Amino acid sequence: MMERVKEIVEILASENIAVDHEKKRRIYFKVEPGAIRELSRKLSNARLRLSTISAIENLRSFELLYHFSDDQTGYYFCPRVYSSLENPEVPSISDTISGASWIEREIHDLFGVNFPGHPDLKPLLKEDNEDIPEQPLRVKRREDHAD
Amino acid sequence: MPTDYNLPVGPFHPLLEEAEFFKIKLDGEVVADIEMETGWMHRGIEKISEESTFDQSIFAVERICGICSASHPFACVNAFEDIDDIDIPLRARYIRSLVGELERIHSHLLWLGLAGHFIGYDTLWMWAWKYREPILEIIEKTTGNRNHYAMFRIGGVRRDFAPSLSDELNEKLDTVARKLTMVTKAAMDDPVLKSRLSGVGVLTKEAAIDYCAVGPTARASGVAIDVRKDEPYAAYDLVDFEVVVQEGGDVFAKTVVRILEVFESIKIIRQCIKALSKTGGAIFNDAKSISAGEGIGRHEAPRGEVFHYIRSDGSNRPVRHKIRAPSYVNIPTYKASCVGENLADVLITLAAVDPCYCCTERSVKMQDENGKELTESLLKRSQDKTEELIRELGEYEAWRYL
Amino acid sequence: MGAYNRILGKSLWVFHVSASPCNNCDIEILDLLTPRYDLERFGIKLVGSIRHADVLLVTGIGSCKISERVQRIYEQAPKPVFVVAIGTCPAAGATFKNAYTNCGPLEKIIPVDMYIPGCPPKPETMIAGVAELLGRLK
Repeated sequence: MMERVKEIVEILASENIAVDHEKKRRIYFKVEPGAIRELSRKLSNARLRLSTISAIENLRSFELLYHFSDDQTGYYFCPRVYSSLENPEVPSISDTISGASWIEREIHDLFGVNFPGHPDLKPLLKEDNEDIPEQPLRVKRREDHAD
Repeated sequence: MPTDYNLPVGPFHPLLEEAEFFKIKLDGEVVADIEMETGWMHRGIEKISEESTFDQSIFAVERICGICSASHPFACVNAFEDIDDIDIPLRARYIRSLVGELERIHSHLLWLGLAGHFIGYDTLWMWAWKYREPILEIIEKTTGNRNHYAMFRIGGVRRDFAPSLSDELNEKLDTVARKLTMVTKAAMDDPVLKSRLSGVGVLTKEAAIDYCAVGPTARASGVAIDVRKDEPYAAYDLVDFEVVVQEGGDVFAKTVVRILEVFESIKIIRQCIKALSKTGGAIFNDAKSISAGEGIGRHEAPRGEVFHYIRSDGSNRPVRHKIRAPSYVNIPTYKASCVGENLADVLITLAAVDPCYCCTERSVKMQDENGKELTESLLKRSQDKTEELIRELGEYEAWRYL
Repeated sequence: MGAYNRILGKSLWVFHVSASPCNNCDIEILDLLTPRYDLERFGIKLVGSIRHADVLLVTGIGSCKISERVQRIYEQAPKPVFVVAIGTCPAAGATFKNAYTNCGPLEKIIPVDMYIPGCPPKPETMIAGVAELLGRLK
């Protein structure tokens, strides 16, 4: 593994984070929701670029996958944050990385995830329009299959 | 007389292209704050892709943008191949790079023309678009269509590059390169253009990093990122090219980056054509299924890094398909580059990030400091004036004047 | 109307409305104005304000958010105004038929006089369509 990648893995280790899944140039690991702010600050100080955040609705949990790109080596570091399905909530990182502001607004708009600490979570893509469904990217579960 | 007022621009504004809505807060003639409302173009492609099979989703993402219609499928197949580590034949890798670079040329020329148009230099517009046509012809001959090429499939490309095209292609590239040198000289050495664009809309290196800017927007601010070099894919590790970086951060630097990149792209295409004449073999490896897993694919589109994240559960449809286009992270840099600028410079600064949005003051609604529309009173005054004329001259005479 | 249309046909001014397209038809429309195709030889000119327009070129599916604005644009246009829908999207929705933001097809939003389908239609097709429109006006 390259020096630079080792350096970043050490940053992760200092936060007690173990890499759980590694593939050619892609490193995935799990992070507690409370720790994501500190971690993203450290990663952006280490000159990693936040590519985007993917929101994924799983069967029993809600998942946010942050993609930090290291442009010197072409590696991707992807912290995974789990939240509850009914009321997903993850602290905002938009104060440390300005680029995250729009990304969080979009996720709030399309998935209904709450980002405490975000200054202005107004809808990014849709307006108040009854023709567009609320949180359109959430999976619609039928009532009778709820249990 | 209040000096600060809000200037809403859009969503339909006279300068072509897409509908975008800007709220510009002005203090006199200086921009105090700028905000943008998006979503007019929202079509929900992520959802469409999740409802489509793997092969279909490549066609769906192609229709995200008509200008980057090779970039999104490119990143999308990269993501699929990342899930399963699918190998791509050498010939297919060269063809992919060839199509990617042809697109970069046509997109940069398109931007150059529009930028000229936005500052009232229509000659540059006509020139740039005139010399963009031979490139579109080449694209049509190589892929079968002027836009929306449908060239990419998982494991390779759909259409082979005909060896008989090589000579014609080289010839056309020669012409384009020659004409472009002329256009470049005319544009870059023009003292008027230089003084119009230099020092306008400066995006500092720190701001570019903070807003996670990508592509020419970042490279013009001294951030040397280029996916083609950082994580080589397709044939980009087999060809020789430079990453163009400028330090200025202003509109002029962005123009220089784009123009020089066109020449780099021509260099890459020449190498690809040469290599294609020597490499034979299949143009795709058949991939029958995608196994469960997740993959990240990216491509350096003309505007920057396109990012696709795909998660598969082993069925024939993606569970989640996240798409991040380069403009998505470049557009918020408006906040850093426009504030403090003159209103007249906002136009070109907004356009410098991405060729798509721009504005003039024609369709705006004027508001006073309480947010009350002034249009009505203007209209009323105009109507009053007309009525006065009619009263004075009689109807027939008045209409002759009007 | 006959005489008016005959005069109108000599110089059509078009306004370009993008109602959630993929930008491709829009670029091809612009392409028509540049030296290779040069629509201005027919007296056709792209104008910046809807108040000056005789023809609306509409591209895109007409998403829910923009459809209301498209209606307003149509109402602001001086009548008679001809609406030309460019591309497959305003006619049928194309790839975005099942999108959750689709409020089209366009004829549900504003009356359409002419369709030029294609994804995107080639510039030659668009010229043929416009020539057809000019022919009808005579």
